[in-house]
Amino acid sequence: MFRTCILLIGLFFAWEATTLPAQSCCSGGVPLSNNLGMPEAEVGVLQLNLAYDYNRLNTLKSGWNRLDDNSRERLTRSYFLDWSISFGERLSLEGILPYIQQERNITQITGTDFSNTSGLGDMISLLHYTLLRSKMGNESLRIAGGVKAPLGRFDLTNDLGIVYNAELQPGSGAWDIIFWAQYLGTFGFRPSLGYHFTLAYSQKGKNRGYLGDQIYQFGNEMQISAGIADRFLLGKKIIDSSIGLRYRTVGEDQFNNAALPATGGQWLFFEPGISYWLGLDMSLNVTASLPVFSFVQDTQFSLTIRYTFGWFYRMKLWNK
Amino acid sequence: MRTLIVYVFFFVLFQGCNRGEALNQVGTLPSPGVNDWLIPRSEVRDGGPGKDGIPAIGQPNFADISEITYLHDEDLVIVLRHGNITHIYPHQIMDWHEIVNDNIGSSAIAVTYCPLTGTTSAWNRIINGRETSFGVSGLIYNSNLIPYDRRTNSNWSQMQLECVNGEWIGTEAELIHHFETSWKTAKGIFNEARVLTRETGFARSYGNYPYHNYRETGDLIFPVSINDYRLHPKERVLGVVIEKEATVYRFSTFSDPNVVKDSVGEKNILLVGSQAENFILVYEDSFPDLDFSYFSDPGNQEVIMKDNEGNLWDIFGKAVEGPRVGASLIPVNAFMGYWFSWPAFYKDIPIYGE
Repeated sequence: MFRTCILLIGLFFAWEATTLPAQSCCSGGVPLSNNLGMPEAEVGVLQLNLAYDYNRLNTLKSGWNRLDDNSRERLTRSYFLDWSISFGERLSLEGILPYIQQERNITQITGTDFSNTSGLGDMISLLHYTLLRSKMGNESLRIAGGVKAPLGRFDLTNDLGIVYNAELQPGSGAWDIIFWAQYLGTFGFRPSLGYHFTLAYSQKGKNRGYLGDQIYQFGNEMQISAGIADRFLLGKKIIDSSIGLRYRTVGEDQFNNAALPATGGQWLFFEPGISYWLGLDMSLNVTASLPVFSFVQDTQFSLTIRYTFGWFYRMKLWNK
Repeated sequence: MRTLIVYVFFFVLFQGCNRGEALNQVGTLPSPGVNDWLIPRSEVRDGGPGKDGIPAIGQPNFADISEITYLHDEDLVIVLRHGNITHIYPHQIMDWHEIVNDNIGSSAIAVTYCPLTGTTSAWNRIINGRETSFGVSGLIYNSNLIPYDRRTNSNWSQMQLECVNGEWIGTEAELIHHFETSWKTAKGIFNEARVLTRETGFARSYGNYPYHNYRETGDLIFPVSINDYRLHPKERVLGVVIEKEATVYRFSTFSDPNVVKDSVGEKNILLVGSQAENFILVYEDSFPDLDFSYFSDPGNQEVIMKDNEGNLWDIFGKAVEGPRVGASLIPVNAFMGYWFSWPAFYKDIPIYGE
């Protein structure tokens, strides 16, 4: 069973990586920060989440209004390894290494223009600290801080040798500072029923080598989410299900310190999720983001759908 | 177990890294496959929306002036006359499409407008004997629009007025006389004109300017090769281009409506303008013996000049009354644009009167 799962997941990723064309979003670069936050674990436990994130934008909006135009499509496909290791009662380290595929499709009466970039993205490293933990173990407050290091390329070109714009690049070329906090709790009447409030903030750095000597800075991003999760049994298997709301606000990008039109906005998403536990230490999980409302600066593409498919595994590397 | 995990991860990573890093394919459009540029390729930028991401209008619809309710008096428009037909293209629509592939009578014309440089151009779409249409390449040079022609996929520079990349590289655009003014002036002069409507075939927020307060601030979205701060970057000026030489003219020269004689390159020119009416027009000074002055004729709104022989001249440089009736002044390549864009294309460009 275990090996079959590994094989299926491997084949899925390999197929995605080799057969699908690639690409992007319009506000804030590659959307990785909604994947932050591995669960708390015992000392010496390594947690891995190998995930595929599909981010599709083809809803053209002007402010609050949706425009009847589906001629353009922006996709970002991210394959990433999220890992964390707990090395103290309250401390853990988390890292995300993504591989990004960006795609832009424009269809007009004259034909379809297709642009595509791909490559390793920027790497996130976060240090988590459990600030508060109730004696019963049913409530906790964790905070984390870290950086997004500019590992990804930001100078990929089209077939004319023209450098693609920043949002189409797999990397940002900038160091970002990330702050994250999460409060977890459970309801007394049903201990398996939990809730969370999560905050993620990303202070974007400046890429001072954009197009040689230009300065590009993505808009700062903040996400606030709240949700509930419960655990069920399906036969002998455990199912975790969750629903939540996530509010995301992104500032305007800055190009040479001037605000770039058609960037930035606010979104509210409904996010259902489900995890299927294959064993005590391994699960398959799927989450989706469905826009409830959005307000964009000027006219730009807004998220149509986003989903993440992941394979989670944890193992004990050393005993306390 | 751990070996398996590591294997799967590195397999996926390898598969990804093994792919090409950047691809650009155009489904049904031919790829130019030409890397020669007349402009520095390193200064050509990806504007962001992508090729045809800003859709050119291919089937424009027009309406009589009396039917147009969406424009305000101060809104800028482009006026183009071909034969006896006058078409008006409001910036409010051009901001969102940048190019209109139009037909006036038997002529095929592309009207192009770059919102970032505020420049307008109208070109003959019959090039080297073949008709084409133009689209927005998504590329910009010195912050200025690079249209592409759909017959050869060649890229053109709007302000450089020539093809800068592709099969037609080096081909100069054949300009068609047009000018920019306010809606108030245009509708007051051209009663019979037809105005581009919002029925473009695309859903856009035509009432909203798409670039924030770009028109008012000194900030540029994309850099230019030469920054020249003699004037405010966004001051609208008229540039006259003759044989690769250029001079700009400010509206302040025409604070009192008047006629100015000057020369650009080897050519003597005649400019007539009115700051209040929001236009400046340029012609070759084909009749150097005539002494022109600004003139407003209540009986014929198109008349803007008279001369010492008693001829009356209309806004398109045609003598409509007097001993030389029927004579025409030859229009000169000229178009309005934000000041910052002119030095970027024409280094050390002179400003008339300064």
